[in-house]
Amino acid sequence: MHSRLREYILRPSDGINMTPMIDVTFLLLTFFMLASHFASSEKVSLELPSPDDSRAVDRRFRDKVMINVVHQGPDLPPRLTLGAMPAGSLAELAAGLQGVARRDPGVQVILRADRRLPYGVVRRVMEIVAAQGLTRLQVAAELSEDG
Amino acid sequence: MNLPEPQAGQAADRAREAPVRPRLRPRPPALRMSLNLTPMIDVVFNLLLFFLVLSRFGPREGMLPAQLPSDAAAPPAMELPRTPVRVRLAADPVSPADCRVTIDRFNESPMPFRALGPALRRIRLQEPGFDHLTPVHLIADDDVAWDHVVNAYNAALAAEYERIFFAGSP
Repeated sequence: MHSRLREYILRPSDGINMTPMIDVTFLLLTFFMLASHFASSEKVSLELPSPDDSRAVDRRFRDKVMINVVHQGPDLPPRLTLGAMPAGSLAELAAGLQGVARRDPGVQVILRADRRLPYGVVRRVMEIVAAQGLTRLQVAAELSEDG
Repeated sequence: MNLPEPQAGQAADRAREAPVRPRLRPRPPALRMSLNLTPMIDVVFNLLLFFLVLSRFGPREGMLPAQLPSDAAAPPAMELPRTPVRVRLAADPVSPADCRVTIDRFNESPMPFRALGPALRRIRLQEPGFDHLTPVHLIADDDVAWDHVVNAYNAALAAEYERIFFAGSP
């Protein structure tokens, strides 16, 4: 081995060892990124609509409430959640939304509905949202491939 | 046992024929070089975790802005009522998974979804009395898939209409 390289490898350490600092930095970074993922656990796994040349934009809202309408099968009723909490029925969803509207009538309602659901089901959900005086709706859809 | 002693002359000959070996100096103790792999593995695993968390699997999700009706959002009485563009979505009787798209007065025969956006844009730009503030009513049958309704909504957004409403079939 070249003598200079040998000297470099064998020289006594005289500086700050950066490795633990890099370790801890990456661990903290990973922790906070994981924590932010947990915060978005209200996003239930479902098949979102994928429109041609989608105009959907990736937006984050501070004040938001998320409604998931999950398709369970052609002859089964859809599963509803308000945020991460399951809503057993439309009436339960309406009661939950009423509380949200009382606290913040300008909240953004994010509607995540499975693409396979019949429009009649989603329309009923939208009617319930509107009945609580909530008018700001965001329809979740897939982003375009280039966006 | 008596062995014959080598004669002195023979021994001297052998000593002359043998190659002369240089005398070796004693070797210095070997240097043991080693790299400590532990910090490198630490960092590599940290990087791996970081990129795993960072990467997104599956399709990416976005938002299409919409407005729901309310009493407060009703147009003021001073505004003249405008003729809306009515887009109708009906389930295809032949293939229920598909749907038929028509526009009242303008495209009465079913068109593919790809043609809906350009047709709406043409109405906005070329038809007198229609502009970006013209309301667009999406009138869909209850059994049409939500995917098709969102596709039509997206087409109206792409045609740069600002007032798009979801409606039920009459």
